[in-house]
Amino acid sequence: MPAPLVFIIIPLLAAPMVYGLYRARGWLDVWAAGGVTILLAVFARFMPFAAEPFIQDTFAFWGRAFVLEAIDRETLVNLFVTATLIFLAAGLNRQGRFFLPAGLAVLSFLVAALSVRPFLFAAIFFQIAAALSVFMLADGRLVTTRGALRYLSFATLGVPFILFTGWLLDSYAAQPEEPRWLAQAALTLLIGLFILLGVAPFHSWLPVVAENSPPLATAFVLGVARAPLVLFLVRLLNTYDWLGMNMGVSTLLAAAGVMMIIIGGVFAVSQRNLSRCIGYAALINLGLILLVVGLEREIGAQAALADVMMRGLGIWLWAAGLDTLRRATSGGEVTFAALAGLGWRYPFAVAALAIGVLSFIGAPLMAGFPARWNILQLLAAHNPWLAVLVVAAMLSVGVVVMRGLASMTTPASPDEVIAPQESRWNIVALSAGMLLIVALGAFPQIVLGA
Amino acid sequence: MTDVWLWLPILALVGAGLTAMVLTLTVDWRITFAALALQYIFAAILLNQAVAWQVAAVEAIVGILVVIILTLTGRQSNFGRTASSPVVQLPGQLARIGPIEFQTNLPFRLVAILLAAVITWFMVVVGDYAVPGLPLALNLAGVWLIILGLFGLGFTDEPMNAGSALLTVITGFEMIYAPLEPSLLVVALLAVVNFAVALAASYLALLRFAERELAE
Repeated sequence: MPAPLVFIIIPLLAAPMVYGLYRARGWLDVWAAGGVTILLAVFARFMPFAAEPFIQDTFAFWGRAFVLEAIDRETLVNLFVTATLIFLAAGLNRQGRFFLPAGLAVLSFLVAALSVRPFLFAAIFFQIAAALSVFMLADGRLVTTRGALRYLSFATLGVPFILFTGWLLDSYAAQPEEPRWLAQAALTLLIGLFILLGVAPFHSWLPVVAENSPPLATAFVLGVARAPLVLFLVRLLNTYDWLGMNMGVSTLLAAAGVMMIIIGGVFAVSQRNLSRCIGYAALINLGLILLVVGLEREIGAQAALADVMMRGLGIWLWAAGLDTLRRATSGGEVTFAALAGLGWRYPFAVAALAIGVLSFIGAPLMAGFPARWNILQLLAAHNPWLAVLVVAAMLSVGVVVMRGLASMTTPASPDEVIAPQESRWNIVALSAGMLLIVALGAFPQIVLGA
Repeated sequence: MTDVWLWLPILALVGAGLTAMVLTLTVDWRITFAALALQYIFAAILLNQAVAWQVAAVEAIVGILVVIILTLTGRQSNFGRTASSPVVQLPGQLARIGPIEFQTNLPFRLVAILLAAVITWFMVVVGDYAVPGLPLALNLAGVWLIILGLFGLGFTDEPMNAGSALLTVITGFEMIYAPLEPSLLVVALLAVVNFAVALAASYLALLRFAERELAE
């Protein structure tokens, strides 16, 4: 049995079954989806990818190979663990009919993207995953379709550039005396990657998705679906020397990173909507990754992957908390005005939301901090002002969280009767999430190793 | 008979160009679907010059299936018209010329088409951006569809029209890329991309329609 097939087929087969369980009692679909993903996480952690003659690390399909390597193991574990948390959170607050099955199918295509060779064909799998994500982002309850449509458009427009790179590389192989093929390949590949990743000026979908989609779906797209994209970027830089060793490319990545950190920081600080705020926080995170990868290809890439791994937990907790609060507001709005006073009725949800965002931006004592500290040290070694810029951008998101907390802990009217309304399950799950984030902040070696 | 085979690619080029123009100008779903179906067929005829006929046939079949998906969605949602509003988008945004609905920004769209023609001509004929080894007709049609598809995406945030524009971009890209990449898997995956975009656009269009009906 080829190992890549296990991780591609199982979630794909589970998707229609989970869809069929939607109306079953006792959140059977939630448990089934969570069970499948946690099982796959265990497989990814402990199963050997190659143990002939029983398990092979490669399989070929219509002339293309799908391969799993040791470097993929951590990304796979992270992918499935974060997906499990998000799926189980769907049990706290019921999501749309397509949320779980579409999520499982997306996971399948993300693994295909991680494992396909040549790497460039991953772009098609990322596009299909993005198209399936639309069914999560517009779930029928929050009927605004703007975010999902924009995400679909950008994910689709990035694919041609990346696929075309393959042809340019073949042309270079046929005519190695013509360096213009390589220059054009680098250009098309970077444009395609920038569109897929949402690098400025192709970032407009990020805050729109965050604002117009259910929080758990946003968390899935930002915390799960984008992690393999970062690994894709790192792989391309490590595989193609003409790309990774190209000073122009490194400078461009770093410059794009700085631009995104500035844009994210400036726009985040003026937000009065906690969903849009996380969109800009994601922009800052992506900018940080591009900056550190652009400055330090190998060490930077390791630091970036560690950062991606630790941020999933933060965005999950943010989403679980905000989803609870959203259902308590009229029309599902999550502006400061709409959330005013909810802190007294939903104290655990509010605390989870705040701790989740703080971990996502890498605040001290949180799970996201150790990886972020590592990146800050790398940046400071290059230019202390870069580290200052990143800290300022992180603080801008922190300021929004604090303003949000102030609003949520101020009763809407002095006569309001305050009584906690959270369910026992909510309290247990959110408390466990908060404890986990703080514990991983204190002992990051559990996940990141020594 | 020989004349037909000689003229067919030219007719297909003109047809693909015209259907893309129609898609840019109208927002009427029924006309959009018809134009999209014809566009896929013209694209397949053009592709037949550079790839095995089976691949071109797959392109045509996928296109027809995609249009069937969109048409079924259209039927479910009364082709974008709610009971009280006989037009696809908000009243006041559309102009009716004869039986066909156009956007009120029709002059702007016409200028955009002119601009797309100039860009296509300079990229493929005057400039050095045509893909070498591909027939001129494929280069012209591919770039034309991509540019008009991108313009179409910029003109609307209505999911069905935006989805049609996105499918036009993909068709244009396939016309240029399919002859360069002979892998069967890639042909199959691009077909899946077409289906995925059609399904996603249909789903979003249904949600948008339900939202409008609820609002009314």
